[in-house]
Amino acid sequence: MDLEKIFYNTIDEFNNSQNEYEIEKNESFLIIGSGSALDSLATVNFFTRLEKNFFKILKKEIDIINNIFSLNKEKITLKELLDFLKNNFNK
Amino acid sequence: MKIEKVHLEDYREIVKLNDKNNLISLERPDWENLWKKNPYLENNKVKWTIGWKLMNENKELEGLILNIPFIFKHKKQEILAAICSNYVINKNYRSHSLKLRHLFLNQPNVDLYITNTANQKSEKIMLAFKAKRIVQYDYQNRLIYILKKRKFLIKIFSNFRLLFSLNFIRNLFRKKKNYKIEDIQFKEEKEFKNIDDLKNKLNLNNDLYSSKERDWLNWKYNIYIKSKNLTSLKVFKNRILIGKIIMIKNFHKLENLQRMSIVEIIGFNNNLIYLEESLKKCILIGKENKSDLIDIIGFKKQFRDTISKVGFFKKKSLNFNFLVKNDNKKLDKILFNSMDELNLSISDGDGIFYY
Repeated sequence: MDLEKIFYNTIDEFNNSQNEYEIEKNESFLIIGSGSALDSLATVNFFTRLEKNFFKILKKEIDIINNIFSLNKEKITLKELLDFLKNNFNK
Repeated sequence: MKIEKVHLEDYREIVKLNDKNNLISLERPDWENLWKKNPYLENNKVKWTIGWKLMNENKELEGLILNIPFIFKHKKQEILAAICSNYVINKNYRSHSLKLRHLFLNQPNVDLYITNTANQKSEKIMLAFKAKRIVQYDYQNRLIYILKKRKFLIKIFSNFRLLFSLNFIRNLFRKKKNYKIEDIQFKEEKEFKNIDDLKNKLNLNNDLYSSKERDWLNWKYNIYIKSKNLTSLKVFKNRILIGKIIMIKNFHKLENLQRMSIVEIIGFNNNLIYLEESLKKCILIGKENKSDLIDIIGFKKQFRDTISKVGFFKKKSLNFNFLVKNDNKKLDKILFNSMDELNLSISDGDGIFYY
């Protein structure tokens, strides 16, 4: 399974796991930053699920949360997150 | 939104933020002394960020994380730890809380990042940032000894749920044994003026511990010394110092309970029978102080086993609140793999300032 498929499957898994938050499969959906529909715990929950699925399927241990915040960006959209994952962990 | 460094001048705004979120604030001099009198900052001319704050478009404070340096020791090595304190964000700005946590957890030259007051939410966030729960025997269970049994019996009968807690009732009536040894002497003190250098006098073996030197203890317990709410018990075996226990008197508003809390147990290695007798002495001191109970958080297995022998019983916490991100791989074994050796307590983090 490729990275993009794992990414979108994890979004489904996250959305199905609770009713309070929904990550839209829309490139401009804001994952981090002012106006994001996710609170801190929901964001952490999504990142943790992503890390677990990457490990389970690709056997790669990755640290998304520390790396993504090291970018020092105020806002991160769904597309930027996916590009970041592809550029950093798809090797 | 903007994230900036915290300055001592931000105190008033921080108190307002805490009030809004039902959090306790220290008095201004005590709060400033967390950095102004901090022995690490006094002895080393280093730049230290005292925290990070989240400011809105109108330059109003919406969130905060404070950063306090502690020195830990392990096998004669000094280890710099950053202690997380006062992590709070106003409700509408909580999506920014992760950035504050990230700044705290990524500082130059810091070995350990510690929180020992994590609630369920911040525990999850710390874990996501690759912090781990310490692996210390039974850390999440507070140990309690009830001094005013009548008060607790009234509580039990007014609380249906507690009626079924048979262990709780049984422990109320567990009998203490009398002193078993005679070559033990105690010296009670209310301050550290005449304290000897504990690290030399008391064999701390291979423990990992926050510094027990006089300047650190004075700094850490300053609030309790000033308010005369600290008792330090030196324990001698045939007039040789073998251990020290520090207790603080505090009031638990929510439960309306006057507590004596044992926050330091130093030394007593290979002298557990003396620790047992010293704990009985602490019970007497608690009674003299008219406390409702004595409580203890943390400490290694052999200490906890001894504490239980004296009649303390366990009270489970809702979540695990001692988490550490470790950037010094040499410490991984003691922090996360040695269940019986680690000897941390409430005094090894910011919990001690807000007890």
